[in-house]
Amino acid sequence: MLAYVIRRILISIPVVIIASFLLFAFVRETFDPTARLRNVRDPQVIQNEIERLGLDEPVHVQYGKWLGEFVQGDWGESARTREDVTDMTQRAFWNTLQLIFWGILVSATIAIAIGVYSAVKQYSIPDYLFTGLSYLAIAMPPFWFGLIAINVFVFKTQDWFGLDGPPVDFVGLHSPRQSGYDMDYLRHLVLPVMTLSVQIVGSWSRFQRAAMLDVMSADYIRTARAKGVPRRKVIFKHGVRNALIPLVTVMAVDIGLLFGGLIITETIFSVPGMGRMFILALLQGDVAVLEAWMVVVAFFVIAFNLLADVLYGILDPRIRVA
Amino acid sequence: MSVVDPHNRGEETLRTTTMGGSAATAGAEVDHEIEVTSVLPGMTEGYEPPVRTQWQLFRRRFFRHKLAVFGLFTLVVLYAAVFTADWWVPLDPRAQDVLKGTTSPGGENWFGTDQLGRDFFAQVIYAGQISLKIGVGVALISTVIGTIMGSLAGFFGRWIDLLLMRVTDLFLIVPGIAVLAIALRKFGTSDTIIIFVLAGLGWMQISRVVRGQVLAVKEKEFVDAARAAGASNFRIITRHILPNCIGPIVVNATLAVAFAIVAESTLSFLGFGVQKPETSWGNLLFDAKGNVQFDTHLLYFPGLFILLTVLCINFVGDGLRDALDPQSGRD
Repeated sequence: MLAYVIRRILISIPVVIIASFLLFAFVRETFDPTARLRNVRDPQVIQNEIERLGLDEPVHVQYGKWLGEFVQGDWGESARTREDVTDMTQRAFWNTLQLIFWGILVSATIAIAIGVYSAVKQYSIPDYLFTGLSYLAIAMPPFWFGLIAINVFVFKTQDWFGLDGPPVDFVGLHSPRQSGYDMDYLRHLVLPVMTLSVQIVGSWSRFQRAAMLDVMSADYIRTARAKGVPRRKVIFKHGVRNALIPLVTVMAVDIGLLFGGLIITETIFSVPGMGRMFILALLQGDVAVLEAWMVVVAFFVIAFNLLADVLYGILDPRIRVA
Repeated sequence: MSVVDPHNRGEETLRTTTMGGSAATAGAEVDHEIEVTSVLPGMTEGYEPPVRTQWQLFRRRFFRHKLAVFGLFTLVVLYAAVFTADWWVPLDPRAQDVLKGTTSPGGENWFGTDQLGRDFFAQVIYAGQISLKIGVGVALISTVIGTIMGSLAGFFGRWIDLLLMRVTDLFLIVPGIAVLAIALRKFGTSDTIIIFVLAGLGWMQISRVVRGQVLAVKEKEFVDAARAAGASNFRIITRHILPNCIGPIVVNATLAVAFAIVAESTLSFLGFGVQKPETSWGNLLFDAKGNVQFDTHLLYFPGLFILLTVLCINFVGDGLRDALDPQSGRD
């Protein structure tokens, strides 16, 4: 197993290097890092800046230099704010991580509950209802859901219930001058977590339902029932535990994708996370920030893909034998 | 369309190999017999099974899927309505009435009006022209590219396969929406460019599917028979292998329409997609996002159209999957 993990990591390295090089060349060609000096009349100042940033060198030389500094932990400075990219990324990453954590916790709980229930009560009315809802959830553009959630939960609820203020907030993760993990934090979390969970719950619950149906028709379930194990115990101990195995691997892959995929949620709710950092950097052609983003996201996608494979082997011994 | 079913493969092989020359006729006959006997065991003597063409079988299976029929019907109506808008939409989407301003749905403005007093129903319908055009355009282009690349990779293997797999790996680790945003930032945002950029990302999914199918089909006996009969690689791919992959290709092409519509609306919503004065559904939502408190109708209608379209496409995709590929499991 260890050899396999190491081999997978080694294979991923060139992929990340190529991806980051393409991004580097692409962004360097699209944006002018000296744009902020546009109003400076003196050509010498611009020339100095070009030399300071090494922009007169060929792009692969620039990339090599950047890569050398990157692996040493020097991620450069933002062309826009002059801030250290390492600090920026760390802060953004922490915010994204919170959204992912709560989002996954909520989604997984709901999706597993719905999936198991639908499978156990197959073709019942709630099963059809959940199936219909999951179709809707998957087809719905997440950004639209986010906007509607703001409209309904921030504004409409005030009218309907005659409240003095909005019950939930939709800007950032904290109110201004607040940073604690208290009620204020929870009120900010509700809408973003809801928005990012809708599609995930839709697809995971379908997946969990299929896996559960699969397991419940297995021989060992019939055996357990035949020897007199109570139905409830069969469902939870023999059924759910085995039906979770395929979901866990799907979850691992999806969580990896979330590190880069929260762009929409973070934009709608102004959460200063990785996705928003990316969009702002893209609008301003901030190469150093884009590069750092790219490498961090790629790292997590690869890591969680790997985790999915490893988990599958650990949870399902049949894979190991084969 | 008619070669999906294994029953037909014998005939197809016979026909082509006979054309390939007399030397191969013996081989073709053997192949034909094998196919026929494989059909026989279920039948008893004297029983005449009803003869149905592949097309009839396909139609029967598809029309049994009620949601798929509903989806298809809705999509046809939607496309027809949107692209004939010039003839039947009563109001001009560009006619402003600033004094009137934003009004709620009612009266002659079925969906109300926007901030400039323009009829919102007309705007949504005309915006649909761009959204639906992008959807179909992307699906067509990415299916063609994906099928070509996938069949080349699956059939020839080696470096082209390696290249394809590495390129798709590359795109798997970079979030698609980011690639699209960067690409649009670079190449501009006309409809045609958006279509090509989205297709540039969308073909990989289809090529992976086609590659997998081709890998499986190319080991079948009828491919050997065709090769023995002297058929060229091009002929084998286009006449023998691809017709047997038509199911997954059609299903994925259908779903690509939905992918493109959602991707376009998301990009437009983020401000990287369709730009004014052109409008798409995503673009209308981009405008609505500044005013989520009051003008609810500006928010709901474009989104409902996206939702309805994507939902129907998914239904049709499900129906096609059941009808074209009866072996695939349905839960």
